[in-house]
Amino acid sequence: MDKFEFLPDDFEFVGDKQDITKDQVTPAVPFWTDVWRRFRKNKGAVIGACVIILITLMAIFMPMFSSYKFDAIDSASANLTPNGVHWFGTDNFGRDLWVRTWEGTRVSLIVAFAAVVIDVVLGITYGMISGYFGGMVDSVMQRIQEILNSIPTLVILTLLMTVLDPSLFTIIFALMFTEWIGMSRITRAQVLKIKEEEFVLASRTLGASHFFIIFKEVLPNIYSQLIVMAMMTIPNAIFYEAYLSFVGLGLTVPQASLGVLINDGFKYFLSYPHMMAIPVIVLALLMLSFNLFGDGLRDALDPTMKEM
Amino acid sequence: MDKSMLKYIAKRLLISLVTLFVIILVLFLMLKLMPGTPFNDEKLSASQKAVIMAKYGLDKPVLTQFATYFKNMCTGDFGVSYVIQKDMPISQLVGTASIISFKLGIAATIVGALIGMLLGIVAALNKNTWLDSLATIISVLGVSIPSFVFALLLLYLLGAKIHILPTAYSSTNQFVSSIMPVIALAMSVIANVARFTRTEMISVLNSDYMTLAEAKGLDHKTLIMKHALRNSLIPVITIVGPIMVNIMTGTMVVEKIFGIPGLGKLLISSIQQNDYNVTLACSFLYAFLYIVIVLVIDVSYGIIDPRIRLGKDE
Amino acid sequence: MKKIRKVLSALVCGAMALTLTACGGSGSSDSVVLMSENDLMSLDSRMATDGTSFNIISAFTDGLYGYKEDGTLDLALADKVDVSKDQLKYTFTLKDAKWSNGDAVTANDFVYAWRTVIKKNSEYAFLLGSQGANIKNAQSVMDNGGNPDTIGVTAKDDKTLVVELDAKCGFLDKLLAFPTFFPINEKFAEEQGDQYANSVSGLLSCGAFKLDAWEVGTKVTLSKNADYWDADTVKINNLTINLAQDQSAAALQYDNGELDYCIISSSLVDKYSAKDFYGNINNGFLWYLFVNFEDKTMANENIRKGLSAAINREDLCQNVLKDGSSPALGFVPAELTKTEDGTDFAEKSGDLLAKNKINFDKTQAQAYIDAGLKELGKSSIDVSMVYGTDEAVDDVATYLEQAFSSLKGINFKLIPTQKQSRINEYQEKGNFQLSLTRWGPDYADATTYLNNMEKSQWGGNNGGNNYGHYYNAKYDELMKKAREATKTTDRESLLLQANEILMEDVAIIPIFSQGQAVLTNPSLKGLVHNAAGTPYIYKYLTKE
Repeated sequence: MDKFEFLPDDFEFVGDKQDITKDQVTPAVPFWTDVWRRFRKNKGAVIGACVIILITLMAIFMPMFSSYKFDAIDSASANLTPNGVHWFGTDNFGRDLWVRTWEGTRVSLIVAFAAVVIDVVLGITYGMISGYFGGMVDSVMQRIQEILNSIPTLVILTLLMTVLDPSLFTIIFALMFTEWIGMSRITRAQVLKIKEEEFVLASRTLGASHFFIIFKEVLPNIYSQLIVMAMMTIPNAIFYEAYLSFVGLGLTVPQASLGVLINDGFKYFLSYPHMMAIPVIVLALLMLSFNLFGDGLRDALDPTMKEM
Repeated sequence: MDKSMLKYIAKRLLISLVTLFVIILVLFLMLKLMPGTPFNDEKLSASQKAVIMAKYGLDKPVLTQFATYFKNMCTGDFGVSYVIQKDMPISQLVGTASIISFKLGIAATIVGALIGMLLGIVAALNKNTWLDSLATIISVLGVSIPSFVFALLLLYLLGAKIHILPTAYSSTNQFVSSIMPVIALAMSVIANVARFTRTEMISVLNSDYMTLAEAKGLDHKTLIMKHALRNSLIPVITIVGPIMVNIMTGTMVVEKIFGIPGLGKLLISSIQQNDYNVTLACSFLYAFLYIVIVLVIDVSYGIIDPRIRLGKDE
Repeated sequence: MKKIRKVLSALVCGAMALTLTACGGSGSSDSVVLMSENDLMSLDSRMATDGTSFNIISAFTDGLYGYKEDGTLDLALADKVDVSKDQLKYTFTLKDAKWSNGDAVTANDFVYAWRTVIKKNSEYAFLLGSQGANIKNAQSVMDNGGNPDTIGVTAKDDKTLVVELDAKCGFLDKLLAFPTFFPINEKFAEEQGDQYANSVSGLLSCGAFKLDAWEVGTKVTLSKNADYWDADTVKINNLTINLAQDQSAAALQYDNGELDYCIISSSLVDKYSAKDFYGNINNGFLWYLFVNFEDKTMANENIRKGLSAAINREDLCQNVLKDGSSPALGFVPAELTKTEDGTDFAEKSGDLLAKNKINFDKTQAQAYIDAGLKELGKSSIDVSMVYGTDEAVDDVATYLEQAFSSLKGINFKLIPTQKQSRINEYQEKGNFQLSLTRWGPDYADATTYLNNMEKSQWGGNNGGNNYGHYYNAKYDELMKKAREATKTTDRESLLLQANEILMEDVAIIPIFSQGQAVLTNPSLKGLVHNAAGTPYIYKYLTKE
């Protein structure tokens, strides 16, 4: 270490700026109140949550209040840009885009929710078990995952189609095949990092069961990355659903979802950009909100961020 | 690399071969289960169809067909296409397309990962400032807007409105004509990598050893470069790998927009039209790449990060 | 931050410097770049079954007959033809022509090609048999597995080709202009073996253009064939065909001047319809609904009439498709063929839908449905329609869904699937009620449509297209008589009657004749478009 030369003005007398005689113990609050308080303070997160709630409400109620039906074809009013009568304009069939967009958001929200649940329940659990136990368990689980990943889902779905009818349920069922794989790999990587830590060893020495260790020791230390990446998989799920509908395995015409609206609107990009721009904006807004919300949740849940 | 690591790699390679075999077998059986045949012209009579099927050996029992296919595959003969390009050898059809898709995919992943990491680092270092918000917005847009929208936007702005870049991929002018497709493909990579890097970096910056290093008196730059970066960037390879494989194996619409003769459409059309050999070859390629990249990632992760121990717990 | 900015600006400068290479394409007056919607399937003239392949094959190969600039047929590789009195023997004398490897085009090239069409079990081999040219022995060889070398085509000498038929064929010249009948250099093909037609080096040219390069899935480049027997007519030196291009990207290329001919879909029509380089062409396909007569609901004539009357074909074509598609007037579409007196066959038939009151009329439609429901003793029926999501008819399916759902008493359901599944799983197994399908003419004669509805086409060994199992004894009788008719006017009137019966019975529900919206460079002339056979002929292209 170098010898430091201390100058007279290197140190400043703090004095009573911090009253060290006072031993303030922050009042004990229940964990969730603490979390809620921290969440509320994060402006971005609150805005995110509000937007999500707002969009959800609009998706539920807007189509009910409109005089237009989402499948009402009216060729005379085709391809109109947003105006006073049709707030989002119309598509090439003259169908009101305001209603279609909100109906579509409804479907996409359900898909998004399903995707997150699948990610969490299947993906995270799979990754944690695989990463924690290591060895043969890990090997087998990873190989199964590789096999599942390499079989083109279109093949699986085409075979399924011979027994199932295309519907929202089929989509969610289809998501269960491969949606969670990315999440499980991320989880596993995080678990590998954590599982050699001393506190895990300590827990094990104290006789904690594997189950306890996985969910009470490891998970709380890795969830931050998991929440963030789970949010990022939502558009994947939405576009996957759009792709399924495109090949006839998902929603049938004239049902719509944000993904379907974007795919359809894409064809009109050069002539009527509003047809694609509007669902893209709604989706982006939704994604932004989910991400802000997810970030806020993560920050709020993180005990290391407890304020003094 | 020590002996146990080498043993681990050897074991993994062996397992990988077995996995590949299982994948091909399962896929082969599934394809044969699918309804329909490769010969779908409305004008073919049933007897003609039977003759054509016999010609290609498609009337034999499924397991016999598989044995023949596997045997041929080991010698590099992947059969011919039945529908997409009649009677063209797969090695030619899929081979040339894959090289192009690979090049573009690797370029897009590298560009995307680098920019993504940069963005993530900047966001983490400037957490909760406008820079962070900007980075978040870019990430969100990157995933919410499909790559083909970016592709068309780029084509419209840079190819048509301002004639800066060529409007179609050309094999004689590969670098310049690849710029737009690579950017379009890289957008979602940037988005994912940026978010991931930001989260990793934030958790690293918050950890105890960083506080210790700062207390020790290390200057800001060394702190970031030597400690924070290394620890946050390592996990990034876990997501870059699978992303790269997905992009490398082709993205249909982006390729169509730029006229790139890549793998994108091959897999989907071949499944829709029962062109078995093409589906098998594309899936095999994908599986092979995926397994190899996962192996590389797992091993390098184990090497770089001393906290991680692969293999069975002692 | 600074470093990054530097790198970025360097990249941008570099890109700008390289923009000189961004231009290109069809700036000059002797290169033409055309767009093809689909990829080609094979450049082997015997195996190709799709329009794109036909277009390109016809550019670098000639047949006995070819198209003139006005779309009519004329002798091409054949210099002259002697027809026997009974019209069963044709003797062709060939012009002097060369393959691109220097070999002369001989009569044996045709013999080899036609024999191998059957040997290779080509999907279009049926054109040599009783449904097409009626080449002697061809049908029996195909049915009974005989030796293809015994079919009625022989090379008397290098320049004389003798073709014998089992029965008269009124449109032999049209068939001989079809790539299935093109010549193939035997020595070269045998040498190439499995590699034949897999790449540019596996093909020879003897047509207006030479094949220069083929980037599979992307484009084909050709250049003028200096050794062509009609080289003076070919005015273009470089021809590029872009394969399977995305329409929006192609439209942008057209705007840039890099594309001379671009096909656009209905989504882009509004952007260009006012421009003078916008046009419509008749695509030749008729889209219609198969009705399954084995299904009790569909077998009810009132239900069929009601469904037909529920479709506002005008609205669909004008406001939704917008690409020049026109409402169907019957099974045989307009502009397919002309009758002896010069009028269009379909025009002569008239608007058979209106005649039978199955054209659009909402109240009438509901009346039919109500009557049908009463006859069936039901208050509501389930109607489903199969369609292919890979056939680009989603708009039509959407429109039909709305049209049929608005009828009271109908529970309508769409069944999306793939084209091959639609044909092999649903149609072939009789597992459907309605199926959205199309038919394109193989040759310019009404029988290419009307033949489909005979009982013999119910499926099975013949591979027939009458999936709905429609049967009307009178119809079959008329078709049989038409085949045996000796006078053209007799044949025509019989066919016209048959065409009428189809709409009286509502054997199928025709919807529209497909059109296509195209953007053509005003300086591009001479692109020949056919509704039947080879869609495009590139030989006569010129650029001012």
